[in-house]
Amino acid sequence: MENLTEPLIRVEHLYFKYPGDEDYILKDINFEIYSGEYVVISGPRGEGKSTLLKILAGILPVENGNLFYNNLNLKGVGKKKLMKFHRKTSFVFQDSALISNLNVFDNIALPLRYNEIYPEEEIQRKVENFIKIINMECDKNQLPAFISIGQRKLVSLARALIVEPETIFYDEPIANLDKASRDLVLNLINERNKKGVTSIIVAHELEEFEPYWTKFIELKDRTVHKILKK
Amino acid sequence: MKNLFEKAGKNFIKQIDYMGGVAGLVVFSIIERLFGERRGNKVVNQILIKQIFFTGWEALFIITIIAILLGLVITIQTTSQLTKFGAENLIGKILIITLVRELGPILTAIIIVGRSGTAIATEIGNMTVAHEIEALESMGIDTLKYIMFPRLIGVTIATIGLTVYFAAFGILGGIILTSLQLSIPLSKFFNILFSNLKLLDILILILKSAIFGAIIATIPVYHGFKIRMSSTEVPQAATKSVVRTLIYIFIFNSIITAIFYI
Repeated sequence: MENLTEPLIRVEHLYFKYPGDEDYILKDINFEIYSGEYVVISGPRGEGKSTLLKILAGILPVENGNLFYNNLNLKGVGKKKLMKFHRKTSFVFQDSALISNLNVFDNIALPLRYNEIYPEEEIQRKVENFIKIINMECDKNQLPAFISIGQRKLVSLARALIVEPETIFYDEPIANLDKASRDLVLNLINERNKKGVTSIIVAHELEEFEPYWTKFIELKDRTVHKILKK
Repeated sequence: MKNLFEKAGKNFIKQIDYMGGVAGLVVFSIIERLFGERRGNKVVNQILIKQIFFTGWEALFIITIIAILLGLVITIQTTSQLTKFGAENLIGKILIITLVRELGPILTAIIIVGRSGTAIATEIGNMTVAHEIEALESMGIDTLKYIMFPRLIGVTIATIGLTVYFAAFGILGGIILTSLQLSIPLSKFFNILFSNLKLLDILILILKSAIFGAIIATIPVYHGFKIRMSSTEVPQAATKSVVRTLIYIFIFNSIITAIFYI
């Protein structure tokens, strides 16, 4: 996969600290990710894995260093270009981050409705299809507060997948899930990856992802400790 | 002394920064909605309608009660004094001055701050803590357009409507009492009332309520956005936003009254 000419994501000497913090949470991060790769980022807790993922996804700003996505430098990028970038990518949040005043159906439909890519009937059809896949037909009218944490995670995943992005960032996608839900999530991630979607996953359950990853990035001491490739 | 000036200077800069942040939310959300990409307009319009319903329609009952009772109280207090001097004719004028020019806009705004201002600050604060704002951004949704704009316009429209409604029902309270208590015939009372009601008064009432509405929507959103990551910050943000909103409402009320009525 790395034989392709240009990397999709290139991280160069990335440093990051949260406002008000004295110490950097990420130091001198360097790596490249190619289109279609299945990347797992791991490491001990508190090493900045989720922070790194949010920076890669353009949710947190690039302050020091450079981050290129398809040759677009996300450092200091304008709002319009950043929005365009966001529409090509999706993010599955560790704590789901569903919109609390929208029910399950409307949460999944939100990115399609906002971006007005399809007519409403097509949106309804697509959302119903995803609701079936994640087995939530009975709960589709429930607000996020009234469904389980595991179900919220599945809804968050459906919301990310429905826009058919070219890259998906997953933050702990199978944490706190039962065996059946884990298998479902892993299947969905693999299925998308096989279709060429670049998958970048922060996870602790290495044995679950081991058969699938093509690149493994380990963070330690707030920097890249090792990079393994298959 | 130097320290005092230094502190005052720092506070002044802080206030300018704060006002700049709040004004920025208003200006950029309007620019984004009117001149930005068309995508998302349908979704945003639906939120706008819900906001008008929540702030306006759901507050009608409490506004009706308070307005009628206030109209009654003002009429009782003024008639008891004015009849001593045989000046009952002034009741209409006093009702207009108090309800249309001052108390109507201010009291309506205070009621809306209590209902919607705190709700908005808490809602946006909780959204920030739960990473919902980040989630919206990650979906390519403009948060200024999705969150700020519908609240700004929705609360402003609802505040204008409720203020007009408040003034009308306050006057109605006065009319009810006058018809029961005074010897002035209702037709004469109406004549006095409407001869004292000028177009400028109505325009200023609309101007005041529009500005108050914009303040009530924007300051809570600003404080909600400012929350970092702890849920304990949410009630603090709600309290801060209520205090700041009330201060700015009273400041703008004084400025507008001074400009038009001095």
